Amino acid sequence: MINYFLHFKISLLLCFMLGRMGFAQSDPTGQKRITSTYLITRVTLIPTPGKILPNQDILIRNGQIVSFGSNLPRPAEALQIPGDSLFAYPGFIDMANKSGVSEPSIPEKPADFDPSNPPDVQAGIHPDVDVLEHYDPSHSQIVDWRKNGFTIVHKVPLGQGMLPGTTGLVVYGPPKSNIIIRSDVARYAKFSTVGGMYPATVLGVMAKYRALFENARLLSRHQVIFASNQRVKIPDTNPVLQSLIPVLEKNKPLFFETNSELDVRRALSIQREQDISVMISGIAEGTLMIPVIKKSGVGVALSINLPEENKQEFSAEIQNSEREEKLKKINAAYIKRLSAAGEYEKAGIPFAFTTKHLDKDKLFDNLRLMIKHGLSKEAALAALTTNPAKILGIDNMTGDISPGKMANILLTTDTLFFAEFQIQYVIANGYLFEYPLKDNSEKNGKNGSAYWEYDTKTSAGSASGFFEISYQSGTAKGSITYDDPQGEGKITSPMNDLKVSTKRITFSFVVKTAKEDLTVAIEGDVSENFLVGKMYIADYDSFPFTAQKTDKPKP
Amino acid sequence: MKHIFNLLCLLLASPFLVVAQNAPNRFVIKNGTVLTITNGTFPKTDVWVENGKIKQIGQDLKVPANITVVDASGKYVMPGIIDAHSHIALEAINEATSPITSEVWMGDVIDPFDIGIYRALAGGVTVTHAMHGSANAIGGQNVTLKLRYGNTDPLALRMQEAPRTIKFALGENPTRVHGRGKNIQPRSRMGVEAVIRNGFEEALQYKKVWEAYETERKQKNSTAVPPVYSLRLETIIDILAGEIIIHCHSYRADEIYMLIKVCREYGIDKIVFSHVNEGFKVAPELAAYTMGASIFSDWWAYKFEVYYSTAYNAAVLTKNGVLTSINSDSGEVIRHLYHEAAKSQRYGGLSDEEALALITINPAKQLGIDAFVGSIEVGKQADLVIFDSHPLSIYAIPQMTFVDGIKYFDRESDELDQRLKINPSELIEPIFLKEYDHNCMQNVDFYFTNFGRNLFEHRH
Repeated sequence: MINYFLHFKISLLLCFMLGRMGFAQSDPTGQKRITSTYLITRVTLIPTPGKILPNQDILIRNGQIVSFGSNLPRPAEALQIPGDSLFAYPGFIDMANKSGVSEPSIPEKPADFDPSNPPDVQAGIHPDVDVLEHYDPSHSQIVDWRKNGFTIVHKVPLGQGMLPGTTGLVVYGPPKSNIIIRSDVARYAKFSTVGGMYPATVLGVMAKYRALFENARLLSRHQVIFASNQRVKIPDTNPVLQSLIPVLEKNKPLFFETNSELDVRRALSIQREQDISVMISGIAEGTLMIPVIKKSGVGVALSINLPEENKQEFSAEIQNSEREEKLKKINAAYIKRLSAAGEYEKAGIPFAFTTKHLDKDKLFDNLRLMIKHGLSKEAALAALTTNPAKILGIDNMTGDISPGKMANILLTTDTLFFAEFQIQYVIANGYLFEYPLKDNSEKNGKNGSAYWEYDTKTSAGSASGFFEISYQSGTAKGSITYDDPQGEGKITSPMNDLKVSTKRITFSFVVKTAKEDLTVAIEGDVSENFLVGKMYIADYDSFPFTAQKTDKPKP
Repeated sequence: MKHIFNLLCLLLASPFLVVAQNAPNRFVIKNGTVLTITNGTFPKTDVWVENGKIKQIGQDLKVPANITVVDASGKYVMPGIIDAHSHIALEAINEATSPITSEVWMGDVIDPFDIGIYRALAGGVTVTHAMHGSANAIGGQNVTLKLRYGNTDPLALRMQEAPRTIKFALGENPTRVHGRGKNIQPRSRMGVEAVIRNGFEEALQYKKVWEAYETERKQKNSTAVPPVYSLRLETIIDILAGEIIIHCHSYRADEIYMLIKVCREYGIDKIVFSHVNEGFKVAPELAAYTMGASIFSDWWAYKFEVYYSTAYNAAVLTKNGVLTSINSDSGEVIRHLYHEAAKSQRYGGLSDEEALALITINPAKQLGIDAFVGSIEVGKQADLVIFDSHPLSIYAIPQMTFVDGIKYFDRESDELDQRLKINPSELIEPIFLKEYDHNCMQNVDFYFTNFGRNLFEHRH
């Protein structure tokens, strides 16, 4: 008996040690975790925005929060996470994000393609496409977003047209775990178009929405008559209209992506005209829509992406007084953008946040900017947790830390949004992810240059060349060399918007052609000496882009 | 069948009117020379405005003691200028992808932030006809705007009383865009006529199908199933029913006469021709069968079909009894439509009243809003402009512009920067001169540039 216990204790200890290193005895792959029970001890718990409980233990089992309180009994199978100097927050919820989502394949245009009357699928109208069938949970960007604290994410489909597909809710657990919370949450709706065919502008898009909804109504009527009568012709099979019928029945909302205040107005127009439910995402332009949104009562998500602060100067030719007045206005417009979230809070709109268009390295900087300009920390946290949970109808499942909820928890080294805070652990669906703490004192960069040889490929062929990134007292600069589009030889362009981290490089550059200046954007994930990423040309299409670190090329 | 539009109307009637300007809505303009347009010109006359309407006109009006007084001594008061062909305050202009796009509606793309609205106000304009472009034979439905600048709700700019109108286009634009551009009908002027006729015919068939369905549906135990709905054909049915005024982009006499004949065949009499550079050749026909012509004073030769033109067009048309207006079709010309009207005096010797009618009551009639605006009359909406000298003088400068009795422009308090929306990041805001080219960029055209060829085809 004693022996048995001793043996158990030793193996438990062994498990603990190995577990922290990511190994387990019985698992030759080394991937399987040793336990799904965790006990976070003596942590400062913020179970829901505005509440703070010191010295709490949190017990997690099989992906659920079992209980919390002080001095909970400590189950033998639990892996203990000492939380003495840590803070526990609910995991973040992202109202709209596309990381890991790929575009569905669209069939080739038929030979007799008529741009004035294209098949819906060609025109970007395929609301029946399931985003989760095009979602890759092992995509590298998801690692980054999880590291930023996001655990539950409303994934929106990719596509250039107005109705690209359904949205779905996933948890950022390990890629091979069960990650789907709910599929077919809403129909994603936009005002953008494929271009080159009907509808090409927002004019056509609005008319198309009206026509689609009216025909969905008629199809539904036809189906009802067909189901209960004889001598009725078979209704058309139309997956597009079919997928809009639940929207008309208010069983599914439209989830609108907007880029401007006028887009928000249009989304609300469609809601009123068609008598349907909508959610509106991507709100970024300021405070003007507050009364309208408040009155409508629709769920909204504000963009965490903020405009850049103006750093340009006027030329000396412009009069001083005019220069000052203009700069003052631009600055006021900038501050207004930063204070918008705070104004939404003041108006009592329980908004959520979306990371769409956001550079993940800017998440906390931008949230701090909003907080500095009037957003309370509680409201910021609510916009990342309880509010999106309510808007998405999953507040019975997640959004806060309480018994019975999903174990989506962040453990931070300081209070959230504090300048020096770091996320040390993210627990998503009960899975533990640990992040090494950075030493903040060692932020100064090194000097020197790195050289990369790149390859890119499109359906039409491939191209290659070099790029260089140099560091001068912590600031990175770069240039890229490519074949002269207007003749023989090579051209070197400076990189714009260069961002370098140990894991990621992004930049853009401008290629001058005879006709126009084209902006080409590169983004890639770095591991060791390799970069794997994508090249985006003029906001239109993306192509694979890979690079390898190399010696300095000979001139 | 019309429930979509009924719905739309309901939607538009909802309480949007958030007045941005807090100017008093009760005032008297005293001692100005009042150009009523419809009832003559009166020196040293007062115009009393209350609740957005003209309450009284007369000399030494007995007004309440506490009323705001705008002194117009030595100045001229005229009705707000109406531009029957404009594209300001719009986010998009052409849904250029189909030869018929009668389902689209400019009310969906009103841009209340456009600085062009303020510039137009500074030129004395109070009403614009915000039109679809001329890419399609049957274009989109237009919207008539009151320039209530400062309102950020796009529909607050819509003139509720205005009837529905639609854009048609003949000649080079639709044939270039669809025929040459996409190799579909119309490729010639004949094709344009065919597209319009086919559209009308299709709408009539559609109407029949729906009427048959509605009849069958009313039968006892009916199992009738609904046909497909088309907002495009619904709109054409309303055109054929005379519920929508056509404003047709046109230049040549032959095509103008063609459409007059087509309209007569289908019983349509609500049609205004726009541009109409060769209108002087078909003036009697325009006078007899249409709601007239809305023209440029002297703008031509920018493409082949616009060479045969004359600055006497306005005078010839007017003298032939054609209801004639002068429009801008431009964010620049809209700032001086009073000069454009004055040219009809230099070329053709129109009277002051005839010349001013070209930019006030005549365009109001062509837009179906003459019961509300277009002249200074008791009971009409108080859309007024005060000029420092006679508006047909080359030296005239608008001083104040009122819409519904609210002052939206005052030269005295004109700021350097009147934008409503300011880019928070950029000193110089980007301007897209050609939205169409901008969109084209997002298409396959890239692969045909040198860069595309070199980057992707150079090596393989």
